[in-house]
Amino acid sequence: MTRRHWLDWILQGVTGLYALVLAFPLLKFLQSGEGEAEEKVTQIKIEKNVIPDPGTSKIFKFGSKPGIIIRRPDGSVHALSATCMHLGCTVDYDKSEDKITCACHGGRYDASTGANISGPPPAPLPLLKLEEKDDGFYISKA
Amino acid sequence: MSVKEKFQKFLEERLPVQAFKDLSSHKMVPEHKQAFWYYFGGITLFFFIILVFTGMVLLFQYQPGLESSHASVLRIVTKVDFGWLIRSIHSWGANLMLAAAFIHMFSVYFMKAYQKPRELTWLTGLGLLGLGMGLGFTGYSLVWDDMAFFATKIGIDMMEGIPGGEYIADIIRGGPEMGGLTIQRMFALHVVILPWIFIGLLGAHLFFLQIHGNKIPEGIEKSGEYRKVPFFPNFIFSDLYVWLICLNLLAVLAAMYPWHIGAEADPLAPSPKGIKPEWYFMAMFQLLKLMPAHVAGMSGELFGNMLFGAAAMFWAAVPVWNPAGTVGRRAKLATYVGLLGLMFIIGFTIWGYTAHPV
Ligand code: HEM
Ligand code: FES
Repeated sequence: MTRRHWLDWILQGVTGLYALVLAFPLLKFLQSGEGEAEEKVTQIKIEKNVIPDPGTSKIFKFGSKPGIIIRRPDGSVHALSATCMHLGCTVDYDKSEDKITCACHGGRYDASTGANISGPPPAPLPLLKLEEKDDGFYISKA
Repeated sequence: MSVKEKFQKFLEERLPVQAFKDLSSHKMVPEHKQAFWYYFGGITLFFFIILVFTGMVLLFQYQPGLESSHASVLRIVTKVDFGWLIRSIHSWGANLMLAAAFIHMFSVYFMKAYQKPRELTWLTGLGLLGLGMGLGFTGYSLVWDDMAFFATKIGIDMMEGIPGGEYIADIIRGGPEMGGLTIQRMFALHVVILPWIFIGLLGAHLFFLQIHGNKIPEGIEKSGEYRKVPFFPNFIFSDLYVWLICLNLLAVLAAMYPWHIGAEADPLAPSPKGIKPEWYFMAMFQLLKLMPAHVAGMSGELFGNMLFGAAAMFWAAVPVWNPAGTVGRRAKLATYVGLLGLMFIIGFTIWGYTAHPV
């Protein structure tokens, strides 16, 4: 290798390093978000009259994400995460089918267990822990 | 065929590559003992590029608004990774760009590069300086700290001193008082409107330059003590070398002297002590401070503005009152006017600072 070649290599190396030194702070800057960690909610309470009859449901805010509470036709009450496991849409309870459905790509889940039944969702909806007391439903992370 | 050769062939089959090559190999730049001053236009351009770049980056974090402007700049300098550095580079870059633009203007003035056929280059250049100062003014206000608030208020109120200026002031402020709309409009001006006008004018400025080439000062031209070097690669490389020096200077200044941020603006608090504009408005600020309440039957402010406006117009019109071919006393006069202008700006700026200790 000639001397000239070596010099070229060194020059290119230095230029490359310089570019990296410029790029690093830039990428870190762009990556910085507001940094508010997910609100740490441990338990919320939902009044009983929110789902008075069999076949009713309600979406509620659990931390920064939606949850869903359902009173099925047989009277049993369940609480689940309402974020679809496919691409993050918010699911809904379909009374006529007695299933949890997602409007985005037609995913369907079991209304009690959250098991994914059909459509693209790859995993079941996580259950939330539900305690029924005299003054309401107490919901917390399972 | 290597990838590079293939790519070249691809381009050659589609674009007049050879014509571009001929054009750039024929472009010559004069080299002589005053050629150093030719760098300042390029330096101004370099800082502008840095500003556009860092400005776009800041847009990913800055949030304009009465509630959010100051808070977001505060977040940028305290929480965002390297936020203080990017902001500091943008602010220092703005100041260095304007300093380079002033030096550039005075150097072309003394080289008499405004004379025929370069009048349009001169005028577009003045427009660029004006826009650059406008960008500085609007950008400064975006921080919405106490200093920025009152500096912006003063600047806008000053427009009201000019006949018809109340309308413009009202438009910029978004009503009779400074508020959220003022920030929104300053923001629109700063990041979209002024930069686009700036880029358009810059294109014209560079196009004219490309047509005429660099002016060789008369004395040097007559004496023949100059030679021409190819723009590419000779001049481009020394230009890039100077740019690299500027980048390093900027990095050192920005890192060692991070840009300041004051307390959030409070319209009900008294104006901060020692309030002063950015240095590039200082001479004008000091001149206006000297004006008595009334001069010649009009408000001192109006008089001061008129004085300044007349001087600026006279300055812009130098190709008219000192055309090419002027010799003797008249030609000297232009140089004296230039020195006077330079001394006025430097003198009044220093005066402004000493009369207003920080
Ligand atoms: C000649 C061009 C420019 C000049 C002279 C200039 C000047 C300024 C100044 C003096 C500030 C206040 C800095 C501070 O104290 O924090 C500022 C802020 C800002 N500028 Fe520019 N600027 C220019 C171009 C741009 C462009 C092209 C953009 C975006 C497209 C931009 C985006 C911003 C933003 C978002 C802020 C607020 C953030 C902050 O204050 O730190 N600027 N500019
Ligand atoms: S996001 Fe729910 S099915 Fe695609």
